[in-house]
Amino acid sequence: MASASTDLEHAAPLYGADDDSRFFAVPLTILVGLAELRCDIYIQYAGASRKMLYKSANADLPAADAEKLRRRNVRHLFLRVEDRQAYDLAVGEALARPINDPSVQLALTVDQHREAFQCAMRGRSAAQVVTAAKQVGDDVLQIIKQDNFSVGMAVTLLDHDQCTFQHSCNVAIYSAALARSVGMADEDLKLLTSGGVLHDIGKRHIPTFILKKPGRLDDRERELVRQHPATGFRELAALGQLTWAQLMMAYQHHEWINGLGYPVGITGDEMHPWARICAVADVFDALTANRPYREAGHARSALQTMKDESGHFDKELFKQWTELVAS
Amino acid sequence: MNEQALGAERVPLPDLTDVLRRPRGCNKTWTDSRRFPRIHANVACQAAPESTYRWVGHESQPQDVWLREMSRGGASFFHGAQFFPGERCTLCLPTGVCLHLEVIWCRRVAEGTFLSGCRFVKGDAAAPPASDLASAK
Repeated sequence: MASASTDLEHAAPLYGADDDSRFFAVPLTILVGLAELRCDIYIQYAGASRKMLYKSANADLPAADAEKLRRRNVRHLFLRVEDRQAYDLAVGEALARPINDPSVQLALTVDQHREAFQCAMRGRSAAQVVTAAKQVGDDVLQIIKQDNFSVGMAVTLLDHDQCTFQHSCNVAIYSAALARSVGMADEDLKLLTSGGVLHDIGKRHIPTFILKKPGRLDDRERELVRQHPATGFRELAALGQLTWAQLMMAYQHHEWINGLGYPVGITGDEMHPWARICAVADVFDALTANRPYREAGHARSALQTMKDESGHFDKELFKQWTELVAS
Repeated sequence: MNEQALGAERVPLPDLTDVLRRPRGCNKTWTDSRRFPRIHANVACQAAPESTYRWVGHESQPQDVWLREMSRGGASFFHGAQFFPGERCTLCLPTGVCLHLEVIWCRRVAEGTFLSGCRFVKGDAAAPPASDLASAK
């Protein structure tokens, strides 16, 4: 119960307070791929205080209906907590079958690792988080390496919520795709992907109410949030299992090329190349994600915002990323 | 006779408050939470980094540092090469006293200049011989 409610806290941007413990949010993309899932599906419209039954257990969710919902900016539907086991089983079965669309496969794979990773994040041992991250990283990299994988499609289909796990996975996927496009070797790609999953590990020490705060953070809260790269770095470095490049992804992903980032304020040349890749991916996902303080943005507007702040990123990498998203 | 008549240009010096308190135009981004009163030192010292992280290339190379201030809990100093959180070093004061420190935060304040905040820790390794530190000057 504890784990389900924590999932819900992170994953559902809209839900009535009385529904908190009774439902968990599922990305629309995933539900469409689970034809054999027989559960009641609920929806919560913007501004509504409660969820409503959208499809009963014996009705299908056709792709056309999903498309309509997507156009209405509905990204998640909801299942009852007691249907969790059936849902997990359906995800496992869907992954066991061949899936033509790598982006759907990616969304399902990420979702399959969600519970184990979040469990590790809540635990005390950073080593368990590293193990879980390596598993996620290896699995998503296999999909990214497929010839028909498209970043543009992945951006459309991947879930974008405020949850640290989903954000970490998205950053890992984007970083890997960007690194691959600039010719990174397979062995390094593997390390970079798991480094991407771990880049925000320091956030597990920030209280959830601060991460979810809808308003502006006060000075003390902002200071606490700004400590997460250093906290994550220290935690990972103490393990001695990661490479320096992976550690730099955790430590330097909020640095800016123009020296106005944190925690150190280093400039372009001083930033590790893997951290530069991670910085582009991190900001892009942050701008396209639902956050407590704003609605998710479209990929095109996210790229425009990043272009306006071009002093923050490596120019070549940003150009490459723009081309990838447009592909 | 003014300076322009002599062809001399006035070189603007950075405001010291800016350098110390608002580096790079950002707000404070480090945790500076020492509990004890600080003593402003402004004194040249030497810091010998211990090999805390095998990847960092400046192990056991003593650096000239400029001690800014210290308290019962820790110290902060300016230095030339970046330190990383958790890194340990031995700070040798001009009096010959050597103190073991652990870096908590490090901030770039100018080209090739960093400011680090450290806390005192019990040293595992022995302090580097004074001769080593002297030879690095």
